[in-house]
Amino acid sequence: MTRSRARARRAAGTGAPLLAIPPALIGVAFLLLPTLALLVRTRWSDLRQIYSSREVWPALRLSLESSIEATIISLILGVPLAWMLARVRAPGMGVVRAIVTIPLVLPPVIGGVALFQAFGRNGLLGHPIHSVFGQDLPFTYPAIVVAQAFVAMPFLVITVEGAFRISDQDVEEAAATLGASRTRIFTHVTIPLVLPAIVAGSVLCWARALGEFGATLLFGGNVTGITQTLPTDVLTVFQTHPEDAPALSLPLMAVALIVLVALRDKWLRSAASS
Amino acid sequence: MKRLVAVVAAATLAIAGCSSSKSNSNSGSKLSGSITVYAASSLTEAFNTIKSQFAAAHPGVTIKITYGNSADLATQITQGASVDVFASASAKVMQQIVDANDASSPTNFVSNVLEIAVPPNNPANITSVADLAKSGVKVAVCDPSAPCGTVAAKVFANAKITVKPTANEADVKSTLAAVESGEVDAGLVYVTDVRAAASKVKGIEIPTNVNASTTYPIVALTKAPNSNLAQAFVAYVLSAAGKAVLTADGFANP
Amino acid sequence: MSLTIEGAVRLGEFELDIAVRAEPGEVVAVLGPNGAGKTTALRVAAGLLSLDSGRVQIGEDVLDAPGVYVPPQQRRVGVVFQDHRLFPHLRVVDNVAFGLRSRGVRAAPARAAAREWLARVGLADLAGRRPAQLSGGQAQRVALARALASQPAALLLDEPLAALDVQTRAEIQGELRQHLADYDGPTLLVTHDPIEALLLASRIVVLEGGRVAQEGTAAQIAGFPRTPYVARLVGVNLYTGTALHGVVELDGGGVLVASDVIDGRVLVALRPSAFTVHTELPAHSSARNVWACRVTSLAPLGDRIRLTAQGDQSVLVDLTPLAVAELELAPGRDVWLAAKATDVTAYPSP
Repeated sequence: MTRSRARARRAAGTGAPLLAIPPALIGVAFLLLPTLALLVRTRWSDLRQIYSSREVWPALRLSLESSIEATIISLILGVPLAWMLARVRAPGMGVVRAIVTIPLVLPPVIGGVALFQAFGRNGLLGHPIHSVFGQDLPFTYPAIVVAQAFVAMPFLVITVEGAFRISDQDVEEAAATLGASRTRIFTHVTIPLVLPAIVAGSVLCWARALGEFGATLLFGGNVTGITQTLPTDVLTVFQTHPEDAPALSLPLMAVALIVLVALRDKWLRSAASS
Repeated sequence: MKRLVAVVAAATLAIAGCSSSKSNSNSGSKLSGSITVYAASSLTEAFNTIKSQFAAAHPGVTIKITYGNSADLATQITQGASVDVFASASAKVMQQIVDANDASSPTNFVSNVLEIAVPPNNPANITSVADLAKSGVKVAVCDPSAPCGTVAAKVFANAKITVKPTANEADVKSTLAAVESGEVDAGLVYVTDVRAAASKVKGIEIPTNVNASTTYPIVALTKAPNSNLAQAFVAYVLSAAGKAVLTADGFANP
Repeated sequence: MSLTIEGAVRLGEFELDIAVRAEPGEVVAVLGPNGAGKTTALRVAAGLLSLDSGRVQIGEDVLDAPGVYVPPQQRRVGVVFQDHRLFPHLRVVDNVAFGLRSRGVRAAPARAAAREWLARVGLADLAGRRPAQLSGGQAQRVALARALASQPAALLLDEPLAALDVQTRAEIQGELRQHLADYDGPTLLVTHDPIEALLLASRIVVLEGGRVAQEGTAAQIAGFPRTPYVARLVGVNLYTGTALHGVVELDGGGVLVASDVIDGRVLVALRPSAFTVHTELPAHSSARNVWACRVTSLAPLGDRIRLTAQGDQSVLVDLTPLAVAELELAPGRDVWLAAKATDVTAYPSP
């Protein structure tokens, strides 16, 4: 039955386009090979020893904590920003959007340089803060969170802005006629309707923050247990004991896989019930 | 390869016997082509000078030098980077290359000791190594994987102090940059780096009984694409002329 | 408390100038073609749009006037939209309870009231569903329950049945009539369907091009249409002209003899069934009006055929299929149309 259907499709000219198949397959292989190579080259029998001697646990914990905090900051600041970009018609919104997009295209290490210029001891904002409070931001744990938030927040903003744009303002009108104040409309109607996009944006943002390397290395200082994330730890390990480096990629891959699978399940279930 | 050592030694003697290193006919066959040199970042100023001198003496050749953290450079070499000459800031890192059969019989050519660099106005009033252990003082050191990081740890051990560094920089030049920018109160760099930075930083000497040193080996790699030119370059570094440049920059004998 | 809208608003090129009043318990239909401004009028009443001049008032409360503008959330109006606009992320019962919850009623009593309203529209067993699981008709019933549940001072319906298929529409129209009868506030019903207006409303306001073209009961409008649109709506031939003792010189050519003795500028109406069609010039007939025309189209209309013919004027004629077949009528055929003076109604032009 299926064969004749496929034949019918080919006859009708709507079967698989032969030209597209080889590039697609090569594309999959290209993306798959490095990941596979990591798994193949990992020294599975020596894992425990590698992890304890190469400072993996402190680095992993730091990575998870900082990336989650960076995502929370991105949510608090990013969702209202996304709303403003999508709904407010004012001259200059295009400029604001361009500013938001900058960390997306800026090489992260330049992001690190920029963070120094802003928040370093002699930075635009950092200098007055140092003079008044005697505190510095660079080379501290908060610096890691700030660096991650800087590079990752735009992902959240762009994702959520898109959802706000296409979201149904008619339903918000209906809420207004039913007596809902503007705040209530925002919290009880607007946000719930873009919730899938907020979740997707948060996952993107968190993944970006978790993997951030250049800005965190520069701005954070890479001190074990305080400012050394797993990505920067991998660099150090690769420089001195390259054969141990593949093993360090496993925790990150495992965490990413667990979260992505868990999220997929949740959205499949809610889609089925609605 | 004992032959290599012999060639290098002969070249050294031959060049040492000349009055000026700028004469032409001593290098045997005419040199051509280009080489890639990997050098520890503390060698930046000295090797740049050596490169100009060498290029002036041998017109038509190209020398490309990449500076960085010796351990990082070594990893690149063992991972297959196409390099002709390697000058590292520690013998241990060079041993990695030898163990990987990428080189043999390196020659030690200089050594270096550390100095404390502070911003010109010395905001934390550092006067000695012990001051670095004071709370609230921000200290930048090289990453422990880099030779200067290992030496810094030795200095702290010698001084019997515990220092919690604020930042582990990728290489010694980054450490220097952190001090220059004023983001940290002090950094542990080589004496040669303090000298090279001139007025951008202030140097505070580390007493000899506390200081630690590191020896720099240089070698032309086994799989050097342009082995002739590579060996000629190494010979030049080891020659009196090369030595003069290095000594002028503050390096000590190996 | 009655609802009054009296004023004008400009939206780009379009201007709405309207005066409508609905008394408590009354259903007033705002009828008109697309683009007439009906939905604009409703949005003004709801507070989603404000007048440039004039006022909106419910009872003694002025909602919109120069210097005064009450936003929608503070007007106590219930709105049913054409596309239901139920909240997709809330269950049906929470949709219906939304208005009450927004006004501060606690969750339990609000849900209880919501369930009562759902029972009244016959959907009590769908309380736990989500809007995506409802059919079009069910969704509109829920939307009505939602609007009524917060006990509004006025009810506004924006083409509530337009998005439903014909069968569902017919089912719901009857129910809607009952719910509107039970509701004791003023109701404004916006529609483009004259049957709906006839069925649900006691008074009709015809809106064309942003202006009120005609206002009255169904009988007044059907009997004396004042504009071509209204005439088409009620299915009547309408012409304008100047009368002298009942003989009307029509604008654009032709003459009609009416049975009314009337002078001056007039509107003349003839029902499509008032014409007879002849393939030869009728002689010896009592009909005072005979027109030469050419058939332009034939279309089935229920069990009749509606014929359109063009002479000095355009004419609609209703015939039986048998007559069409016997006379071999087809587009392009030259025919004569005859109508009795007693079937011609002439009345003063506004």
